[in-house]
Amino acid sequence: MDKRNWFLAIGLGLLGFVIGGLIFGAFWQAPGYVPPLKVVGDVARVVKLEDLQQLGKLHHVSYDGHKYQAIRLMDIITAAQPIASPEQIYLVGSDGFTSSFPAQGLEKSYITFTAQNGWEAINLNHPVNSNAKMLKEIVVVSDRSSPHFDLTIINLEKELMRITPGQLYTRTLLEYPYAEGQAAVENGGKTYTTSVYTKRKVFSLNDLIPGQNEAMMLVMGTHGEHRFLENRGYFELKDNYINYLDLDERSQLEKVKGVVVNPPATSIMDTYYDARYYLENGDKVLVVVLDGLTYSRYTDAVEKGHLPFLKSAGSVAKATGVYPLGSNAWLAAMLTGVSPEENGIIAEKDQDLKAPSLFAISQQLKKSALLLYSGPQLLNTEVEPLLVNGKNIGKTGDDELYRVTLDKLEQGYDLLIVRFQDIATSSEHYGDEAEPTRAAITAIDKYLQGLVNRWPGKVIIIGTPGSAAQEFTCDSMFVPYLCLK
Amino acid sequence: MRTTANKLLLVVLALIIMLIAVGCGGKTETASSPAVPDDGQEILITGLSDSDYKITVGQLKKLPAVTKKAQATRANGETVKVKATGPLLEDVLQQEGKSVKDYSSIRFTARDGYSIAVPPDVLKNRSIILAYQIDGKPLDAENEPVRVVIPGERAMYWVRMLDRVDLETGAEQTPIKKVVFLETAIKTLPQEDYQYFDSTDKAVKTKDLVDTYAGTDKVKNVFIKAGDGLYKNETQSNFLSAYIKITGEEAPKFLAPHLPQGMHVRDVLYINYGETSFLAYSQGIKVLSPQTLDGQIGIALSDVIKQTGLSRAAKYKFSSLNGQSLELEVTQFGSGLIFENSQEALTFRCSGAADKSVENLLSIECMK
Repeated sequence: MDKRNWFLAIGLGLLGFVIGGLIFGAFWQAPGYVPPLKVVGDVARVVKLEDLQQLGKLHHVSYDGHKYQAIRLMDIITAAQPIASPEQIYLVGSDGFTSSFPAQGLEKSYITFTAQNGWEAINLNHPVNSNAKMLKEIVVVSDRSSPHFDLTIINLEKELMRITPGQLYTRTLLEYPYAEGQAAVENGGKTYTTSVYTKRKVFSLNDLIPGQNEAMMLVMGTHGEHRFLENRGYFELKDNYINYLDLDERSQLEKVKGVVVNPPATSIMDTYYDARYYLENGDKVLVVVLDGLTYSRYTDAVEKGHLPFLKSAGSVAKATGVYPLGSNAWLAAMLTGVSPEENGIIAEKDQDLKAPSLFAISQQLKKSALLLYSGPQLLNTEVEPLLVNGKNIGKTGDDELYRVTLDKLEQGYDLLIVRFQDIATSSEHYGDEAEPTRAAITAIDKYLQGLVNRWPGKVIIIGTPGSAAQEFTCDSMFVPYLCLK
Repeated sequence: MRTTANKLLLVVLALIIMLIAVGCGGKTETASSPAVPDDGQEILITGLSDSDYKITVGQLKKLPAVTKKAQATRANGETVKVKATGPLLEDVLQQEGKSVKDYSSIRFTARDGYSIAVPPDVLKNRSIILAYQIDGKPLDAENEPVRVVIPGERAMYWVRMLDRVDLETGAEQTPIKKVVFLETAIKTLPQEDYQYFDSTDKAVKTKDLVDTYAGTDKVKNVFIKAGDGLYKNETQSNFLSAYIKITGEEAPKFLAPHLPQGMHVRDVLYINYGETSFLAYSQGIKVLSPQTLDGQIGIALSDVIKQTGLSRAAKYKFSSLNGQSLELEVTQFGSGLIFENSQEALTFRCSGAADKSVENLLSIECMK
């Protein structure tokens, strides 16, 4: 072989190495196991670091005579999208060693990965014991300026506790072995079984609020779950949310938003059961929904003399609402008697009911029914709603709605459901104490008097917190409920 | 000629180097050889109907199929990623008018004897795919005829070589040993006025009913079924703090002033409390097919046994409120009927045997 061919052979050989290397690279997997480092707590996105280069740019850090490639701690936290201003950071090691420091002043805080120490903190500005090794979690604790991730616990009278997942990480939690299942296999005539458990960080209601052994709980989840439970299970802290585990039932409610301790028996869903009963027994039923009239606003207005008719109309019950707090979700719960989870109306965009409503009952009973309200369409029900919008200058939406409702009263309907919303609109725009809100409440009282006096049947009057309410609070979750016979 | 040989040598040399480079990269996993397609292979499903139900892979393939990417973690921490194609178990059950959510547990058993029970929280929240294709290919011998895939759940639930599916309901967790007829039972219990909307009805305390006829043992859950098919599981303490309204609208009705109306159950057909089932004849006669015997219209004993899940026994004891009883072997009561006599008392009678009857029928018990 001449010299030229030898060069060609070497060139082709190199090319072979390159192509082979590329193919190898495509199928090659890094040897060994990199334990994940999770960012949890008060964050919108749980970041799971499994590779030092996962978040992009690496920084060169010299520390204690060694050089490292590392990620800035602040970049990791930012990637996890803190739900409010981070206040405190906890670095948790796999052996339980935890270092904590304020979320401010992280300019020279880094995380690196080494074969010897796993995920490791390098805090150049902090005391040396902040440099935790074999890290498994970075817990972000917010300053609580955003309520959206809170777990709120209330009773009939007051708020008992408001706490974020991040704050819960800083409390004493039990590690509970949660049975995942038992597998069995037969071998040689013998049955071999394996039980599988996951260790879960749990706490009881009593751990947060002592003295609740005999309590009943109404637990509500972010996806419209609504469970009336005995206090016999545990809350589970998982990543950036809280679950409820009923160990006897082996059921789980994911992403708990709020808990009502010892809730009242009356619920906004009673609207369905009461109206159904009356319809089945031949009565006509008028349901008046008052958007914006929470229980506290009702009692305040009664004390100030703004609701003279309603005050004398009958006894009022304090009814629990549902979560989420959207107008469509509340109206759907009233019309179907089941929770948002069951009727399918959870988000603002949801309009199609997955459960039969009072209008289906009225159709079965061959009774005429109508739903009236002002504003945009909220739900697709078994009957087409009549959307009423204010047409006259100087008149509010409720003025026009009242006028139309009076017309409909004369038309012999068996079931009439009307939703007024001026109280909610006024309080949202002007505030609870403003004159327009007071005027809206006073006007509603007169409308109610006019409607009740003309209606030849049963009347159910019920409030809602209005569409502006977003938080699970003692104020937003209770509304007045009156059943006039 | 020499030049051509040299070039050939060069190409061979380059190929050898490439092969060595690739070969050094790691070993490739060879897939198991695909199994011979056998659409006739059956999977046994128990608990779906009275008799065992079998479905073939061919029948599964006729159902609407879903294709979902799923990921699970094995016990060793390894992650499994597949694209599973097959019908949902939900669709299989829907053919028989059932749902996955009707069951408290579903046990999958493989042909190699491996089995695992899937708990209710998984049943409620996850889709269960009966996959006959993985990653677009028919299953291999280690998986066929069907592999269970539950996206989002641990690999231990992903049973290969599916052979059997056992559906279990809460009602069946405790075998029923005694059926107590509500209308007779309440005659001995204190009855209270219960204000129900505009009427004052009569109600008995559930605690009185249970203490008198079912004993005080702790039970995990109470299963209540209504005449319209609705059913609910209630906790023991909630149940024992409530009432059964026995007169007026919607009776018998499970209710309590302190429980939300959504937890009340109207037109109760039966309540299974531990080993005892309380059956409301008034609802049974409405929702079960009425039978006629010697001119009397009532409920067939076989329907009572079927509805309440009364355990099979060689002999049953029929007791009356006044303490009389009749013991009958299964072969003796044939087409037995429970009906209301002219005094509105429940009566049990066997076909063509007037001496085999019990007036004021209180209960039917399994004999050992």
